[in-house]
Amino acid sequence: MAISFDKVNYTYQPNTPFESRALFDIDLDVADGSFTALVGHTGSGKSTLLQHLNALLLPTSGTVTVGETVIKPDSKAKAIKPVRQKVGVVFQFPETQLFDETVLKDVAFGPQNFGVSKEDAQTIAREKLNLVGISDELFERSPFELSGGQMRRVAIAGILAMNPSVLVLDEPTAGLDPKARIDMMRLFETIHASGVTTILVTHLMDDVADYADTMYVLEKGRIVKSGKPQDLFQDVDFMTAHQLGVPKATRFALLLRARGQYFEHLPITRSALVEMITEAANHG
Amino acid sequence: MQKILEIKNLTYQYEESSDIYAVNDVSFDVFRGEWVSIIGRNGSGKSTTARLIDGLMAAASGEIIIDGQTLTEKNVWELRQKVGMVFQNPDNQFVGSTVEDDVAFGMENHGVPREEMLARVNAALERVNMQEFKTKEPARLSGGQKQRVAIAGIVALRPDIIILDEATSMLDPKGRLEIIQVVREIKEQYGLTVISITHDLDEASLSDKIIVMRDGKIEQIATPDALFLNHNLVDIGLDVPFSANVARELRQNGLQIPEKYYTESELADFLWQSLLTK
Repeated sequence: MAISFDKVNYTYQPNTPFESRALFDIDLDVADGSFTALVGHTGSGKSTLLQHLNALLLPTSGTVTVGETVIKPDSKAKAIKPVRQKVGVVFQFPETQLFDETVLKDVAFGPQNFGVSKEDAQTIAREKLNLVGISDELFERSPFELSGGQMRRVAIAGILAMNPSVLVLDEPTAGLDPKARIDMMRLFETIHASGVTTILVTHLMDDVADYADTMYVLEKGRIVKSGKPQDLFQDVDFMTAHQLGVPKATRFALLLRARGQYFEHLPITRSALVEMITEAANHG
Repeated sequence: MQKILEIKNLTYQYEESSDIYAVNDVSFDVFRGEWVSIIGRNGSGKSTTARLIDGLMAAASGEIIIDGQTLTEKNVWELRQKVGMVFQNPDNQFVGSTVEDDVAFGMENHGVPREEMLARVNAALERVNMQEFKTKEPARLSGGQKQRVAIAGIVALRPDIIILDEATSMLDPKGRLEIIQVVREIKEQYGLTVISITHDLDEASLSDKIIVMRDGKIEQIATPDALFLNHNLVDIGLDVPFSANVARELRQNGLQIPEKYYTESELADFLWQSLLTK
């Protein structure tokens, strides 16, 4: 499902002494089926923008179009309810949102809340829990007895149980160990491959390079750059000046370039880097 | 050397009836002024151990001796003053509306007189290089700045032990480096003992010793050098250095690269001199 922002502005607490503008004329297009990365620093407006993706915030001016639904400053709660089901947001540390007695009940809660029968909801819950790698023997346990990594998987299953067409991920691997981080990103890759439009908010440029096909750079509430990661990371000076940095592979290629190696394009993934070095070593 | 912390046969279960132990018969000693890293995969019991030491949870059995005193329900408040903890997510640990209020909060709780409190707030903020942000709102700071404020709040309380519970894991490389640098400096200045729970190879490599945990147990205690030489790093919950991965994949492609550890610049030097300029 596609999402587009048209001249979206957002101001917190307008017309009060605390008025503070967070988004400025945001134009953004998330194509159906794409894997879009949103990068920027703390305070860049990422979180505010993210909350517009499923209408947790309504724009102060401008429109957000999610599939068929147009979200306007004066949209009514009833009109935007379908958006909540279609756009699943995995907030940072989603495990803090777990609440139910058992893992299975927790995951089944969402669909039940949207009118699915208890039995069907539990069937969906089982399927999604297995998808995220939670095995059957944990279904009847309290979610609070699980490890941090497992809790996060349960929380993600809870969001997938709504069968969203768009999955929004806010720093989804923060705090996971390196192995769990790789497994988690592979999980999102699989979900994306099944046709779910994916939006990743991250400060890890390696993840952007490895998974995203489109990226937006946000700074002080404005989009300052957008395009394909492969193109944006060529502008190393820009990425460095904005303190975002470049993927490790690009950084390593720069070390070789400084020593005299020629690169037509800087690689952004490790596999591309290894391939370029192998090629250069074999054929000079 | 003096033992600042002794852990003896520590055990913890999240559910009494189950036979799953989050911490299972864990024992180790930490000496004053040491920097100890605890590593391991998620769910290995690292954070639970840290929370037990700070008295945030009570152990099922075993003993925690902090600076010569056994931790009990009665003295937990007193002993907790000796242990400062910095958590993973900076946003979850702010209470003050300004940076200085936040740093002062812990001291207010401990009844430090106002005059002294003001002096300590200033000194602590200066120490972490956040003096100029004194009157700013914590929410407006970057992740690295927030963690520095959190550390200032702890420094101001003058603990003996500072526990970093993945305190740098949400930061970018620059923020991470800032924090490590600050912690090193305060460790030297105040003779603090540092216990760092981490997945970061660089951070772990700074420590005097590394405790590897797996499934609630201590798998081994070793120096960084001994550990890194003999282990699959991912398997013990650490990141493999990028240069090691590149070298391995180039070897797989048939390039002749000696089997040793290269830093990124060393690898770039080797590749350029030996393989790319022919």
